[in-house]
Amino acid sequence: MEDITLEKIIELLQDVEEDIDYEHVTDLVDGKHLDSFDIIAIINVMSDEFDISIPAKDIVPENFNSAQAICNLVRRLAEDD
Amino acid sequence: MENVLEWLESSAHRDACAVAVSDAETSITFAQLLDRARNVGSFLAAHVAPGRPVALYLEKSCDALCGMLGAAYAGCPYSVIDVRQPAARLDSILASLDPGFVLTDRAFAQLAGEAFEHTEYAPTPVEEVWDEPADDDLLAAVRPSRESALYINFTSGSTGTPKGVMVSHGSVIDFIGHFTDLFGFSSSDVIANQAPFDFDVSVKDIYSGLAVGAAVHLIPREYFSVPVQLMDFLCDRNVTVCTWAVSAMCFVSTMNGFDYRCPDTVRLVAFSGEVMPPKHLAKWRAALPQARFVNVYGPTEVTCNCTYWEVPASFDGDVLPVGRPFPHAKVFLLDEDDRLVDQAGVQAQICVAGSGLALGYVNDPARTAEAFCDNPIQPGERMYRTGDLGYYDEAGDLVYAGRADHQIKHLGQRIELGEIEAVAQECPGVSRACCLYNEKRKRILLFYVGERSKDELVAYLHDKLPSYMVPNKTTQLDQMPLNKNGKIDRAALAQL
Repeated sequence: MEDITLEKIIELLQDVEEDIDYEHVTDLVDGKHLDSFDIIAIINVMSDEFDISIPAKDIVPENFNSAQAICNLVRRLAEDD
Repeated sequence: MENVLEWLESSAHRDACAVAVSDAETSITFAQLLDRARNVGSFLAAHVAPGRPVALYLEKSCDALCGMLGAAYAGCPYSVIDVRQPAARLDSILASLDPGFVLTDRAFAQLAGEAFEHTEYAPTPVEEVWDEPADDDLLAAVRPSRESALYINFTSGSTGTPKGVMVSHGSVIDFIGHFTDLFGFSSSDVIANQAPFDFDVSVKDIYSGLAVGAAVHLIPREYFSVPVQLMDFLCDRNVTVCTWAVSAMCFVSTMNGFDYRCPDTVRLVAFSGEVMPPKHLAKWRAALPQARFVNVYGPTEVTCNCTYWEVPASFDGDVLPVGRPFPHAKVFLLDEDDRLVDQAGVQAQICVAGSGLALGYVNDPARTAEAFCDNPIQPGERMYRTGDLGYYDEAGDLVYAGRADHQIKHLGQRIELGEIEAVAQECPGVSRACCLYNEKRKRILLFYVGERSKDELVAYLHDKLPSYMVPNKTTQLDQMPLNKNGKIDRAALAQL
């Protein structure tokens, strides 16, 4: 499995929705930059790329509001596995 | 039955105090819904001629339903307009719809005021008109018939402008009558509404509830970003029926919602809008072994659905048929020479006739005449060519096999890629545009040639198109790849 770096997470996010400044935006969900279907796409990409399963209780806006938050979530789940 | 209002009146008569509809904040009974709808209808009837559309600019809510049924009481078709429409598309819809009145609600009054500022309309909050007692004589004079239009739903149009599909009371009565009969709806059902009111999947929820006297619970849109809220909603409200878009079901299974909580009161799941991926259906069936699962099919122009196929308990295949016609619908396959195709395995265009056919496209007789034509197999009968391809399997069930054109289903929405291309090509500095859809990854891809920068074109598209139609990836090219006939080589684009 690849290292879970912020740069890698941003690269994957740009593949889902390219027109967002992931390095600076910190309200991806609350600011409606991402809708539920973007989140589905992100979950699918992260699950496939890092071989993790994201439980429903972790799918809350605060875990998806920034690239850093998504990175933290993925790292935690990868460590738990 | 003459109109859908009879359902509301008989349900209110049977159990006035039963909950008719409930949103995140409030609930209203059948008696309240009837009273408010009649009052709104009486107000509208004094301001709008019967048959003239009434636009509703608001989100789904109890209040919205009062406005929709109020328009029906006034003998006017209603059209719910998504408040997220960009200004240019809202203008395009208003030009096509030519509404006689615009309703909103207090929650969206300010937004509506801004959105309609440059128009002749002054949106009126529905709450401000429902306390005025109804004029019975006026309502009797404008009472709709089976042939009256009930609603107008806008869908994507390949020429760059959306088209408003106009559906009659009679079509809804016939479809909902069979839908609720076949799947055993009763007043004890609790229906969980997923779809927005500008999307015709919601017609099944609203009118099934009214027809049998069951409560309809409106799931807030934002719950489809937070699975624990969605699963709590379904479980805490003891939901029994989900008539949802496939994309919404995939949300629950992808987000592992069933690992958190399982709504074991659900007895019926009817899904439509896209082809259901087998792995997602398998998750739903494993989580809800007590429920019936039904694949329903049909474009907006045939009133919700024209065929259905109940998934057998033993099913473990990869291909889900769309099945057989509802009793009021005639569904058949025609080849390119308009010959009937009835042998198994032969692909042809799915065509539909019967009482579910829409009245046509609002204020657009040319498009209506083109799409709703004479049935070559039974001259004198109206028929709709869906543009969908299908074939019969060995059991005689119809199987959907994709589109004959460039229409796609994306996030549960029907989109003509031609509409996105047409809008992109209207952008100054864009000479040619072509859209592709990556089915596997559910992404819309736009390729264009021109001097306009990518960022400027994307900003332009955001101003003209609803967000679900804005391409996920935009690529500027020096020139379009062409095939030997001089047409854009889509296969070559897909490789870029």
